[in-house]
Amino acid sequence: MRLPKTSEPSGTVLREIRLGKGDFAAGGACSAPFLDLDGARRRRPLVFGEVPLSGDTLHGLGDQLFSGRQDDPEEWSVMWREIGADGIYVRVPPGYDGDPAVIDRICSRTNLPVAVDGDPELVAAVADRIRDSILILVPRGDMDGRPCGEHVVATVCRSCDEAIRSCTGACGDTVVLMSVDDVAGGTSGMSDYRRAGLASEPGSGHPVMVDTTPIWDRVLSMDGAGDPVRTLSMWEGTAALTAMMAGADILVMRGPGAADMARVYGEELADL
Amino acid sequence: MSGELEIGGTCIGGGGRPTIALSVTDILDTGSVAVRMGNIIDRTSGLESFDAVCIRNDSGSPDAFAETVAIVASLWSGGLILDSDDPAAILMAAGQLGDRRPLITMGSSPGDGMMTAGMLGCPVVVRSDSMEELMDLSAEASGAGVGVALDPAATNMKQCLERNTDLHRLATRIPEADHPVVTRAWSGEYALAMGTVSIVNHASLVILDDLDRDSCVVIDRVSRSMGAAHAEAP
Repeated sequence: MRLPKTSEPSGTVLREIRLGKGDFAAGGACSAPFLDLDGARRRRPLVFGEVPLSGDTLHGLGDQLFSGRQDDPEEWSVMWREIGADGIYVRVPPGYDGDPAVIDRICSRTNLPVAVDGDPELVAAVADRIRDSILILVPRGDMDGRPCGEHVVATVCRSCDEAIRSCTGACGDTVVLMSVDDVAGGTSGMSDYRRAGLASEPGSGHPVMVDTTPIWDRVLSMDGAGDPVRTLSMWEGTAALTAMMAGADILVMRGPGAADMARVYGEELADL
Repeated sequence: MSGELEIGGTCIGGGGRPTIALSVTDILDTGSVAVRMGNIIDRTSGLESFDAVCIRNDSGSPDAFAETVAIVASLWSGGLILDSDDPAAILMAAGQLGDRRPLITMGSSPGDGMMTAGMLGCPVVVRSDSMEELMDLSAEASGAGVGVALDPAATNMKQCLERNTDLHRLATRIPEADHPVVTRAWSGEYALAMGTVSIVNHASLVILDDLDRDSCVVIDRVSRSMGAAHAEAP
């Protein structure tokens, strides 16, 4: 049987950002995620490992997951690099009273792209100090006109419509940051935003960064979960897989096993 | 995708929640088949998507297959999938099922599969890694009045993504593609990943060899999320 053509190339190339020393790129897609049928670009999502500057986000599993190196954010970041992460997502909790210069040292010791998530004052101060590496700035509040330098700024969104509104008229490089707290729920906003980008809608086309770490709270609150490390890896890895199929360009991940799964899945889907 | 099939009280396709099936082999002795079914029932309890069980004729023996199917059917009230390349084994096994209508899959001999399914009044899975051949088989089955599901024979996640998407798009253009899509995968974490890719990309039925309870919970959640998304879609 002779079949009709099913290829749907868009002819649009989405925005691409450069990170770190300019040696890491994200975005720049020209098709539905990974689809060779539509001429997909062979690029997998970048995987950023989460490093909070205080608090136990690992729920007591840190020694098992990071061999004790999670007690020192610099060492933790270096370990992320050693296990193959593409970047470090530094989470600075509100009211953090430590020395934020640790972020400078994370940049210089890992040589990886770094994202900084925290109060606008702290984020602006870091942006002003670090000039030899392109950061992703994730201010949890209004930057009130504080300069962002050459860095990329993330806008936190829950839906495609919100992302389009937030990014319309944005100057400089921007990424859309969305979160998932389930293995497959909440990805429609990413898919819609990718489609809007391929249709060249105003405010669309920026790279999408997806935070999969909220899934930890869901898993740890479930009754009857088995081995928590394995269960968390499966849930977070599967959430990353569904997010990348929905168009995630950057993944923020907490578990090293899940991050490894995400990288391997991304490589296979991108045919690398 | 609007094509819908009914297998033993379970509907697959039609834009509803995807169905997942674990498998039982007929190389087990009768006691072990019952134990295996107990394991499947335990590890899928409370999970909505595990609506079917696949029985594989790995032994090559029609008698062993029929005996295994009879035990499974006595313990499982949901959908049944009979997987054999031997028409005689399928016919003998189907004889154990009364008025239950299983889904027939005969991977390496699709012509025999269609004929056997037609004799039994059951739907059939046609399988090919060539989209043209798959559409020919689909047309042939439909022409014979047999309900059909399509297995594009993906052996990895990438193929699964490409072929399921291709079928989904074809379904809007030609009727031969407008049938439930089936994916087969094996055991363990890669099977979980492949099943996830398939469900997210329009599969209606995922047949797996085996998964542990944790993986069953995860893939059930993916299936329910996609089912809910399909239900909300305009």
